[in-house]
Amino acid sequence: MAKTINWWGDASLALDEVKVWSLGERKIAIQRLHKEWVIWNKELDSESTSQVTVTSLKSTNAFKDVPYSRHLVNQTTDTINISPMLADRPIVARPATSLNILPGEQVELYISSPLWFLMKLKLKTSPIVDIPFLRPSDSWFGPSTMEGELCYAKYTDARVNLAQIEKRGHRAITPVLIKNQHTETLIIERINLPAPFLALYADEQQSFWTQEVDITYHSDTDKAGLRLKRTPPNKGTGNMTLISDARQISDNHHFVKSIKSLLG
Amino acid sequence: MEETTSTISLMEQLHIFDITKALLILIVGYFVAKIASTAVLRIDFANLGPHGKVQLRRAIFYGIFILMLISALRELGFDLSVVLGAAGILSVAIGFASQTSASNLISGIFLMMERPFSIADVIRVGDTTGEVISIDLLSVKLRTFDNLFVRIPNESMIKTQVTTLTKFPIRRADLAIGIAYKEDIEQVQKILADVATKNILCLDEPKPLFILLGFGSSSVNIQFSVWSKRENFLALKNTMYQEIKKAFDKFNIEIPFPHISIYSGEATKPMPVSLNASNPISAKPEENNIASEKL
Repeated sequence: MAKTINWWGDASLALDEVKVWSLGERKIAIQRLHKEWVIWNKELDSESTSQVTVTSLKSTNAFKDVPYSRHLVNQTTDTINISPMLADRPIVARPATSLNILPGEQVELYISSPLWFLMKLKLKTSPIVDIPFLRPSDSWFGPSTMEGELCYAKYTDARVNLAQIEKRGHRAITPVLIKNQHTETLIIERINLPAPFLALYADEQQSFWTQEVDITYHSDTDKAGLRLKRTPPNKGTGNMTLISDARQISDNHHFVKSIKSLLG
Repeated sequence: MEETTSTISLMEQLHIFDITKALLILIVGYFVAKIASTAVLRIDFANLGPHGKVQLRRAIFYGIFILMLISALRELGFDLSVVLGAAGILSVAIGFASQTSASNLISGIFLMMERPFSIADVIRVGDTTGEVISIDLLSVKLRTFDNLFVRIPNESMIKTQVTTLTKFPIRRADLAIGIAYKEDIEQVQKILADVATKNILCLDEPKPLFILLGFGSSSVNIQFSVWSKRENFLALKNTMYQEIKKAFDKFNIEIPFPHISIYSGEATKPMPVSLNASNPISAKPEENNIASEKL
């Protein structure tokens, strides 16, 4: 298989050049001017199945009616950094039907979640562009309408079988291992995936992965332990390379939360 | 020499030195309190919102100023216990005279303790909705969304119902929708659910709520309740109504307006209505014009 060029990482732009990252009709274009970066964001309502491609254009005529933003700098540099990241809020995933995990058993699920497109200027840490390839719907996860947190829903599935997950260029797969050490059956209708705490890896086939998440439902309490592994998962093909760190970096890779805030 | 000593003794008799000292303490005290209260806010306390900051500043200012006032009174030779005793009697007299202010003051203290809302919250009191800009001892000041300054006395805040719109992170928008009697309600329910799913501002959880309110005078009334992030409340309401209208137009679902059926009772036959197309209506105004010209 011919090795394709990665669409992320450092990209070089000549003066007045336009580079377009497209996912089907969903396009993000960046133009380098002398003292400003112009960014067009052409959104799409439906999800595209195609891969992300990068093309170079000479003019911006194709983006006449597309909303754009201007970012002024002293002098533009010839390299920019594109680093995809996971969502900025937790993501709610659902299995096709509710899953019952019997006491003492464990199950591995795969959750595919959408990526955000981040553009950084060299040496600057804060991104000037931070947009999702496909904006997921808002949702709420919590025991009541007073307690809980805002998250994203929709376009997200949780599957027991990895082969059932469609591999798409703008999504990352997270393996989730759920252990039920409680004496009661654990019913999973929804899973709250802590996307802002996950780092992004890519395998040799340009598939995106995150580290594994372990959820353990301890006996005799309603608490569950959430552990984020520090290493990339051993699922993809070939070596995994780190694309970007988590949005929220925490020293603690082990959280104890109420089971209601992780699984619903 | 004698003159100066006599002036000094006169000044002593008139307590000029004490008064100057007391005044000096008051003035210095005022500035110290002011500087201290603003300086404390420079230090960024963890988890202190705008409301907490204002309260901390006031507590420090009044604390220092009252201490200075007491020491100024002492300089003047007042016995504080006597002053306080006199204040007790005085406060009864003042209390009767200024019942409203006193009740506002007490209500203000209760309001500060209860904290049903804080500065920068959006509240609704009666018909007034606005952002809280300050909570004082006598009143709460609001800025309404049409940019008016509203002062609401604390007493009425305690007595009436106050709704805080920004307490919880999510809100529900209740959309009132009417459909014609001929429409299939199940199909409408499906269309509405579909519109809600497609709208990214509409929360998937809690699920949108479909309530059939009943049979109205000219339509089947439906309440469709959707949830959104608090900040997106208005945007959601607007986009939902637009998208519902579009979807109804697409599926030919009629949104009726009030109908009036003229019915002349069971005994009589329906009223005969006939149209006369041979006499065009457009001819009439011309006749009128001629008539008016003649006049």
